[in-house]
Amino acid sequence: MKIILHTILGIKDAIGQRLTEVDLPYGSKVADLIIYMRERWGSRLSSRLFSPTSGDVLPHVRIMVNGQAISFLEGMETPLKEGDEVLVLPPVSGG
Amino acid sequence: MYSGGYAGKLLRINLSDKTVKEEPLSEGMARDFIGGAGFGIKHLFDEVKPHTDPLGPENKLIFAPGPFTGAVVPCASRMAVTGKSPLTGAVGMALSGGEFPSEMKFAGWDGIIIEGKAEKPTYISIMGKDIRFHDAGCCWGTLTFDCQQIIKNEMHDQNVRVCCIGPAGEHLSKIACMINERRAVGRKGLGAVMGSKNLKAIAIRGTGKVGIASQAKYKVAHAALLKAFKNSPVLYPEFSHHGTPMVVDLTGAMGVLPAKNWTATGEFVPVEGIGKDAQASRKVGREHCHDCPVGCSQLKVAKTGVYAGILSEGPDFETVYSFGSGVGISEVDPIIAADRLADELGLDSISSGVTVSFAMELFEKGMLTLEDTDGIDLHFGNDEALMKLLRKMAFRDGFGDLLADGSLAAARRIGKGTEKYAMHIKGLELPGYDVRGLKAHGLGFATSYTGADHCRSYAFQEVFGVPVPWEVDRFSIKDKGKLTIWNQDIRTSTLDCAPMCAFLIDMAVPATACENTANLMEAVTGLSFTPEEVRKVGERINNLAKVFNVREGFTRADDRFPERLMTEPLKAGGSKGQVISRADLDTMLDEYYTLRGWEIKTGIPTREKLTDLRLAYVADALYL
Repeated sequence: MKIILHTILGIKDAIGQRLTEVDLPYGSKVADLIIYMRERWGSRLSSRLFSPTSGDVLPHVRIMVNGQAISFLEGMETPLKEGDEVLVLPPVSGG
Repeated sequence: MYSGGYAGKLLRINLSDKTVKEEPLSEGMARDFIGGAGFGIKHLFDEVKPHTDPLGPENKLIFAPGPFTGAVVPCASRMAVTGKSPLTGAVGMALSGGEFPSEMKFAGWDGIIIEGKAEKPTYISIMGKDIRFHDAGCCWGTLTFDCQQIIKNEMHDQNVRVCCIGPAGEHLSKIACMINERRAVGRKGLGAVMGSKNLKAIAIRGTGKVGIASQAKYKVAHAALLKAFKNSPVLYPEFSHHGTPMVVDLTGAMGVLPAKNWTATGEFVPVEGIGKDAQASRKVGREHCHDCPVGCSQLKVAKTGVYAGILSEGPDFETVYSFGSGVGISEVDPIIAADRLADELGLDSISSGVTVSFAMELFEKGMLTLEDTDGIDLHFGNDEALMKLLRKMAFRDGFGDLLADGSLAAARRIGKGTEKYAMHIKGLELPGYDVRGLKAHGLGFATSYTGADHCRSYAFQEVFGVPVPWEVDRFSIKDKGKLTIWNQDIRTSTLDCAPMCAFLIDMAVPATACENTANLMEAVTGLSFTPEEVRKVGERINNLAKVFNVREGFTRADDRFPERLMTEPLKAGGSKGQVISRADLDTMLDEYYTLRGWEIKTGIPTREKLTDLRLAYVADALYL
């Protein structure tokens, strides 16, 4: 199934584009997308997305599925479906 | 008694009879209101009678820095300016940084109260205790940057700091701002109040120092604050390099960057043209406010077309919205040029941009024609039209006169049911967050004592995802009243009264804002505060400002969104389908008023609440 990975700022710079179409197996979850990102963009992305000690996604990185933060869905276990847009956001401030 | 931070005195200047008076600053005033907006709103309530004409001589302007200003406290270079807003009729309070606020302290003043009206155009010089009134014939009619230079030349002192108005303030545009250097006292039309007093500028210079009560305690508090700066994943790594335009990318991705007068949020998202990367491509340097280690202010130069070579400090996020996506513009250079032009004319960039976008929507709907607009094509995206209208608004020229008092006043003059297209709350144009996808941010706009003001209760939990005091679902209305009160009170005391930079809370000290201010207060002033006492200062001021507005006739019915936000769900983007219905707003307001200790039906603070906040005299004024 195809989903849209939407990134901005430093994470976008590491990936090279704002919107990326990603093909994942049906039944994939957010955690699977993160594994995909680590494998595809590895070292370019790692310092902006993953903790150097635990390897987990950094606490200040926000992930949303169709605009909803995954902490109000099922976290990394949130299921994805065809056409979903997943936002992966680095820390931002200002305004 | 305080032994540092404060200069210990306020300066009262009456323009009508050219008298000057020095007044002591009491410890009680310092304890209950800290400074900045606290001092301003206290004097406004006590001294400006109900239903005073905002553009009459009885209105006042209170310029107030705070105890930390000029005291080498990082990010405390700010002042509040307070008066009754001619745009809203409510409390008008706006903050500004730069060098002018610190210079007020070096000159020996914790506040300057301007009253009356000069017989002819005037500027005031304040050289410490030497206060003089000058004929402003040399600078009346000038743009703000030129005005500052003319006054510096007249005073033979290039280091004098000047806060002035431009043509918009002189022509009493109700969306006029003040400018000091390249920084604005931006919103609520306080520039028009200055213009109504025939006051072109205040020039100030001081040679004193701001004392520190305890160097040992200050060293500890200062180190703790700098450590918090360094620990932030965004403050130095990102924000100091890119400034606020990062938020264009974020709000665009989240589907809350308003577009085309809020008709196309999530559909028209020109991040590639106006976002962080586009802004960075025009960056030529950055500037720091006094004693600021961050330097978020970006200097940019436009590169293309008729705008090539125009420099602006900014545009910041809000201006990128108001002169960019809001009016359908998708390129950075016209925004840089419009930002510079608005500063020079002395126009609030948010209100002027949103007022233009209102006119553009009417034009596209056929409710305004070329005959109405002096022949200007007002289709969305026409940057040439934006530039023309800014000038026309500032000088009240032709069609510009219709727009010079903001979108609500324009709608009332146009009629034909156009009021529903004016994107405002209490008359103040909406800032750059489509709150259909940010519910607490929206409740903050609705309940702010200044109108639709992102600076009174920024819901950084929703916009930036900072989980303090708890993690927040931006689409839910649950507990948003409680959250809004938390944001309003802490922001008021720690940022508006101290006053300190608004970016401190979400980036550096989200969980310890009151503790940070309490520690700095004790170190700098010698006055002991608990974090709860700091928070209560914010609550006190929000209640006092509310009563000022109640006295002016504001009711629960004014804590409302434009109809569009309550009836038209977002059609696309990261917040697709979101809306804040009337019922949702009412539910949030009920919770908010209840927790505030205000009457649910009216939104009026109860006597018990006011008495608890040491505002019994305010209750006496309200409950005769």
